[in-house]
Amino acid sequence: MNTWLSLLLKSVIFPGFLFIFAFALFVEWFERKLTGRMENRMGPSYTGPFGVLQPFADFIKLLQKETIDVRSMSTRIVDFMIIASLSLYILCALFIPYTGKSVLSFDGDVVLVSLLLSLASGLLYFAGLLSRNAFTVVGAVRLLLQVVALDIPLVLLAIVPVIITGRFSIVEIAHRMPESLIYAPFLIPFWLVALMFEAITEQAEIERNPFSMPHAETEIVAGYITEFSGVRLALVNLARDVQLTVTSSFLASIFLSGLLRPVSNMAMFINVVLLILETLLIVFVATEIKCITARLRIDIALDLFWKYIIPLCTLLVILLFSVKVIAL
Amino acid sequence: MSVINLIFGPQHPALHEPELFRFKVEGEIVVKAEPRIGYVHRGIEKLFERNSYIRGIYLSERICGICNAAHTVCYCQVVENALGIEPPPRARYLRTIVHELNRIHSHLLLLGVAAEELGFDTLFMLIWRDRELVMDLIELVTGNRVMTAFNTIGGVRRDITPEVAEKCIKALSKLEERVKYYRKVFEEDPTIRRRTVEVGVLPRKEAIKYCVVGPMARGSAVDVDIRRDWPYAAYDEIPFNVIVRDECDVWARLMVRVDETIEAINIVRYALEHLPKGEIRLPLRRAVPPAEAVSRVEAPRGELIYHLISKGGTIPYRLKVRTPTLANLLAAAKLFEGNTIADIPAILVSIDPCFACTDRVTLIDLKDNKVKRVSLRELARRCRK
Repeated sequence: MNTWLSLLLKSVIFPGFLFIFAFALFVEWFERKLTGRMENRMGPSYTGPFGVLQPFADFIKLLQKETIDVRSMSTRIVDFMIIASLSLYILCALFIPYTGKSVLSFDGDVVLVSLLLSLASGLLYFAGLLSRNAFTVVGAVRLLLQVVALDIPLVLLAIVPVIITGRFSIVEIAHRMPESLIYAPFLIPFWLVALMFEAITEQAEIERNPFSMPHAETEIVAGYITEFSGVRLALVNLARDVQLTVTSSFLASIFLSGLLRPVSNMAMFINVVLLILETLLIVFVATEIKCITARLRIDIALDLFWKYIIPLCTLLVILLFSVKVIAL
Repeated sequence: MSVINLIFGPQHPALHEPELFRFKVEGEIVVKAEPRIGYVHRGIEKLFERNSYIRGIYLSERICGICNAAHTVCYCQVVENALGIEPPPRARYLRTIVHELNRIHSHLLLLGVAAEELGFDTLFMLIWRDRELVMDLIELVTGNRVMTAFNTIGGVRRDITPEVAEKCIKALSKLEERVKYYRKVFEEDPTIRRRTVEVGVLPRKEAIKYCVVGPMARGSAVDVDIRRDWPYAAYDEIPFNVIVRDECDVWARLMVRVDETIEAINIVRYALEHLPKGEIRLPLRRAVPPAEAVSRVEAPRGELIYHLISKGGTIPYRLKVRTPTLANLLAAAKLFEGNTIADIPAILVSIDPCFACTDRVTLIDLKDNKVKRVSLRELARRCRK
């Protein structure tokens, strides 16, 4: 088959837009149901089996609603930013080896994906800022401060699996991750510490409690998405679901994965199931953290990142690197 | 840095009643806060002057849905004072029981809301689940979940049987266990502590200066409680502790409420165990002789005052209500200044605002000391100014 056609099919159907769309809505249902059960509620239960189609129904419902153009909003740029952000998240999905091989891959894509994830959040900052409402501006500024603070630990932590496995591309890391730890058990403590930091950083990346300040409901209504409605809101919600899914899949593939070589269809199928389960595991942990914490203040969160997490992550990477070099 | 006008209300997720706060913020810091009350003004004091004393009981109950028992206790007491009668001992104990059950429900409601405002939704849902225990008790004792309609002039309307008392005591011990667990959560959870400790500090001196009342005063080391200082109902016969904390911050105010809930459970338990025998109400008297009377009650949010002037007959000449939120709101407006936007809901929730009871209006022109009655249209025009 023509390589361009194949690339197009992959980016539109699997593991591109359609797969990510379905998976993201499933992850949203999973998160909502889990939150509901944690909070002594039912969670979505009516649409589809166990309410699994509820996020899809919400998406369709929002598409039908009127999209209000607020007079102060720079509509075109805002729309562009939302679509660009969503596209960037889907682009990141193409780097993730759901079947054991990824659509796009090169040495060093670990760092690229970490940065693209932050950039996509950064674009939503513009969407909030250009809505020009007191709530959206405060929310957008908080989002930007948070993205800037978490960007450094995110990249530093992405280097940890690189050092452990000695490979630079996500696919290779995903294949070698558990083996490398088994062959070098003295690296396991580093891996565990990195996982712990990663759990904290991911909460900030996906804006969940205790780092949900950019859309703190009781303070600034809905933060940077306050002025969005209709199609725009549907797309922002979708972008945030995709963000949660892709971030979790990315972390699952570089920190947990033990994917098989894609030699047969069976192996590829097992890989898809395995990575989806690992993604759900990470979403599960993130949701539990969200449910057992109160929201922090933005200054406390920035303190935490700049004073503790960034220096400690740097130290972790330096130590890990020295240990690895000495061991070799 | 430029100053942004951040307008909270009349509709805002942090406010559960329509009220407006205008905050001037620089970055994240609040420089100035202006509360504007009056969105739920219902003309209730005027209604008192047109309805009989008996109807007034139900009217006073509707001033505040949450602390309705405190309002009816206060109203019945002020009429009893004007009549010069005293309810029988059993009625006084029953009043105390319902009043304290009401306090438990109100405090648990607030603690849940506090958790929600801090972004801790799980705690909010769990506290409200356990609040159902006390709601069921109120229904068991009075026949209604929220609007108790329990007190009447000269006593109470329903008696409780020993079986009901036994059920209450059983449910209360279950509730006590849960409240003690929540006390631990509020005391130890690091995220809650980071958000509330040393936030919205109201020093003792300031608290006295602004005349704050209730848990807000007790959280600022002002040892005041109407139940102990000017006992009413059966409080002079029931032993209880007044909870006072000297941290003066949002956390202290929340902890005062947690501890008061435990104390209220003990009061209800003691009252149920020592319930005197006898009548539950005096014969009804419709007319009140010319008199002036005042009654004070420690409502869940603080001191509640009713002032009644009677010129004889079956309807009051004038009834003035001073609700606790009005006393606390002015101090709260000061507390916002210098704190961040994120602290606004935390401080707001720590005064336990109940605006519906607060909103009553008289316009006084300070320049020439004229009291005016204004039409709704004019009022709306003035609000826009």
